[in-house]
Amino acid sequence: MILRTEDLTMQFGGVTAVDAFNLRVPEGEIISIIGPNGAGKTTVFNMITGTYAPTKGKIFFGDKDITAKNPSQITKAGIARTFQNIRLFKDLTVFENVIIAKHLHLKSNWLQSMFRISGLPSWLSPYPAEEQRFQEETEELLEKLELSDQKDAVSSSLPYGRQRRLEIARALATQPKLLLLDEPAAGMNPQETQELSSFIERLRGEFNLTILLIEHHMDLVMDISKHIYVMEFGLNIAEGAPTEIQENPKVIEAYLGSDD
Amino acid sequence: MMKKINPKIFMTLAAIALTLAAAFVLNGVLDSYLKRILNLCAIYTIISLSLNLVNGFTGMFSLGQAGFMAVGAYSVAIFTVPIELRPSSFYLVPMNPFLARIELPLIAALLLGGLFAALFALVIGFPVLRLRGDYLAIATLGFSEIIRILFTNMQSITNGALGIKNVPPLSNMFLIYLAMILTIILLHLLLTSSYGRAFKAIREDEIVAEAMGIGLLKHKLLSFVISAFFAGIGGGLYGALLGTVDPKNFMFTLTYNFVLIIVLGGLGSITGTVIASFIITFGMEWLRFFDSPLRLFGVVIPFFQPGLRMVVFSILLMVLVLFFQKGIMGQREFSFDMVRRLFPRKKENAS
Amino acid sequence: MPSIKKIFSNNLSAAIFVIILVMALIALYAMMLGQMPVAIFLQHLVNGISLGSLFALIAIGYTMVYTILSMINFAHGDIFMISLYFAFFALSTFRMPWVLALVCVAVLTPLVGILVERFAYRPLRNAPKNSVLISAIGTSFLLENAATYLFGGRPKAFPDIPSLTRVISIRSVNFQVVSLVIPLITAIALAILLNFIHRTKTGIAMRAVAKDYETAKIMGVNINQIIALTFIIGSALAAVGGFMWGAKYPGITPMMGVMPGLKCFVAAVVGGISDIKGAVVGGFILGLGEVMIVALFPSISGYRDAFAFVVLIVILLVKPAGILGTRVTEKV
Repeated sequence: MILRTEDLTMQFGGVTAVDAFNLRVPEGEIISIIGPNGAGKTTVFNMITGTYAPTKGKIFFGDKDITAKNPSQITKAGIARTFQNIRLFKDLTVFENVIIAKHLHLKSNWLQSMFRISGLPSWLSPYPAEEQRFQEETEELLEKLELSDQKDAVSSSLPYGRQRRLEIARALATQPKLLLLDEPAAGMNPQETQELSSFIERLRGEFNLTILLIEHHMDLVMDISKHIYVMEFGLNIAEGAPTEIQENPKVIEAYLGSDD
Repeated sequence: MMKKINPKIFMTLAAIALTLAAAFVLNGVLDSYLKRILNLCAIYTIISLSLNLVNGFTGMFSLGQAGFMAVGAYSVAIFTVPIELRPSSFYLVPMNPFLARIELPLIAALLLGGLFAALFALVIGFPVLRLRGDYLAIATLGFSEIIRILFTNMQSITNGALGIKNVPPLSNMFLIYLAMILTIILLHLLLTSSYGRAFKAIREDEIVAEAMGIGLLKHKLLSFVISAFFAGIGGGLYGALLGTVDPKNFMFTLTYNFVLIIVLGGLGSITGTVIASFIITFGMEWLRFFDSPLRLFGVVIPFFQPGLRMVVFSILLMVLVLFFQKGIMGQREFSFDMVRRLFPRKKENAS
Repeated sequence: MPSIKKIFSNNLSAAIFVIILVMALIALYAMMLGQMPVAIFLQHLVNGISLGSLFALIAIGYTMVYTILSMINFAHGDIFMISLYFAFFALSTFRMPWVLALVCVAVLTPLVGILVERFAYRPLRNAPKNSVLISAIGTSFLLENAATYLFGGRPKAFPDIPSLTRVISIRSVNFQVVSLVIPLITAIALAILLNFIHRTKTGIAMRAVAKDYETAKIMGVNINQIIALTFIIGSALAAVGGFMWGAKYPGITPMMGVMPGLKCFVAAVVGGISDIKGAVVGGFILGLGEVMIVALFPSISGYRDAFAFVVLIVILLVKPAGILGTRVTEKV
């Protein structure tokens, strides 16, 4: 198990947004969380990534307890995420958006970064070599995700689908072991959704990733998930392989009963 | 051979050399009034850059610059006044005997002032930088006032409300412009490094920056402390330029000058800050005519009386904020590419 | 434990509780030191309460604007200052009786508040927060400089109002009438305000805007009217506070609004900026605290103005939402 939660619970005031959720994510798999709006899926993400401190319960990443660590520590440990409503650094370029996410791997301190002299051996001025590496890795990543042609464009000028892709590129730049995707297909048409499904599969192979997915598009979820968790009103009402979920009466009821 | 020297670097070095040479020559030529204004321009540049680092590049809102300046100015005043001249300032309460024996050269006192200011920023940064937006503004402003109140009360160190006189006057343009250029270079190097990108990420979106592994407190603290260091240096130069250091010189309203400068120049632009510092400093001098009675063709024009200058100044600030939020440069930088683009007919629009 | 929490959650009793606690602690300390005669202590207490009331009156203005626009109205302290000049001219140039002057000032000062809102804040309502902050600072600076230009930088003496400044003594405790009038006026103003906010339709609209700006707008609340009204009420309270301030501490300068303004904002934050009662609690803590500390430790009286900021830092570290505030988790 690369990620495991124990009775993960989040309460806002009197409302229980997530109630004793036990999540198991095996390494190298694609696992999905589905459920109607407001079921608490994003809250689970926010707890895993440290944005919210859970009211109760624990989160383990590998064997490490990462409960209530702060988001930057969790990202450093190897979990990266995207956001439900795209949150790029809007005024910065595509290239900058991605290379910023390399910063957590920087070994030079701020003085070494400031007083950098290229051409010196790296024990004297380590920064230039690191910067060089960051730039190359960023180029490479943009190449792989087919974003290089627009690398100097301001990120908010990109078309919607590419902004989603850029957000994924940025998350990948942190070199995560586990990638959390929050509704990556939101706003996409069936054609694009289908492409996304193979794209996610490709990412998993190419970057050696484990992927945890929140999604509403059932085709996508059923297509690529190994295991699915279903949430409703903060409760985990069902879990299992895609075929089991499709036949589960509770799930059918939850979906037919809601407007989604 | 040609490959080795990048033309941009060459141009930059030439510009630096030219500025320093000009400062050196003008230092011998200009009258003391003009020199003083030009020196003030350079000092304001240093301090405004330090404020822009925090407010423009890291997206926090600090109003503590006057306090950090005071730390720098007092350290220059305390350590550089010749020992034999000190009793003439400290006539009410004698100076602390330990400090009374120490005299340092200006450069050492300046650096010490910068370090003290940075240290102070480090101490207050831990609690304060967790705050957001206007809370941070109020807290830093409060600390800037606390520093001033401390200095007003530490009679044996700062001579309290009487201030310290006989600070060896500094009018050497070369030295001040060297300090300015060093500040620009160092901040440019910082901001174009990975750390600078991290600062910008925090400015753009704190939550995402943190999700990308950028420790918020660490990086905010770094920006804040470096900013305080340069504000301390600037304050030290300011104190030396004035020749007298007095708590009333460091009211928090002093910070408003720098806020105006960075807003005019563009929050997040080094070159914009430099340009705006010169415009504002000269502008404030030029506006002085508002303060003296004006006669045109023998008729006294009403309204021109002391105080009008500051009214005009504050109206300008308001107009700027309300109608030109991006300032002169926005978040862009002036570069030689820009000059080149300007000359062979501007076809593309770089907005 | 839960009962204590309940007391603190949403009741004016919390205010009274805190104040009594503070007073009791101070009194205990004074007695322990045994250095302060009871009469002197009571005198300081009266002064502290009246300063606290003044702070509360001004702090309410910050709270009201903050809850609705989530911005610090930096100019509020300067509106307070302007009200003192209005009072000065009403009393000395126009020789009005003080009650009439008070009414005039309370009517005129809100005009300044409306102007500030209309020209400095409204155009920036959808602008980034920092722009609004800069505009607020600029407005404050403009008002100070305009006052210096119009009225001169030298201090003016607030005309003496004998019926307010008369010293009365009960037993051996001496105090000015105004020190008793101030808490009284504050209590009345607060009662009217709370009734207005909770009982009238406009008041409810006001709370709706504070709770959820967008939804209130969709529900047909006239946002501009409500915001203007907020500034009117805040400025009027600051004007009443200003008038009383002048009677108690005569001496008006263009920069005099700055320190009280900052302290009152701090008071609003300390009490909990989401709640008008918080402003009252914070005002009392700062006012009483400041007077008492100076009274008990004359040697550190030079640090008097630093007290508020120290309290601010402590509160922000211990309970960032303020004494009466509840913490809101930011939605991601």
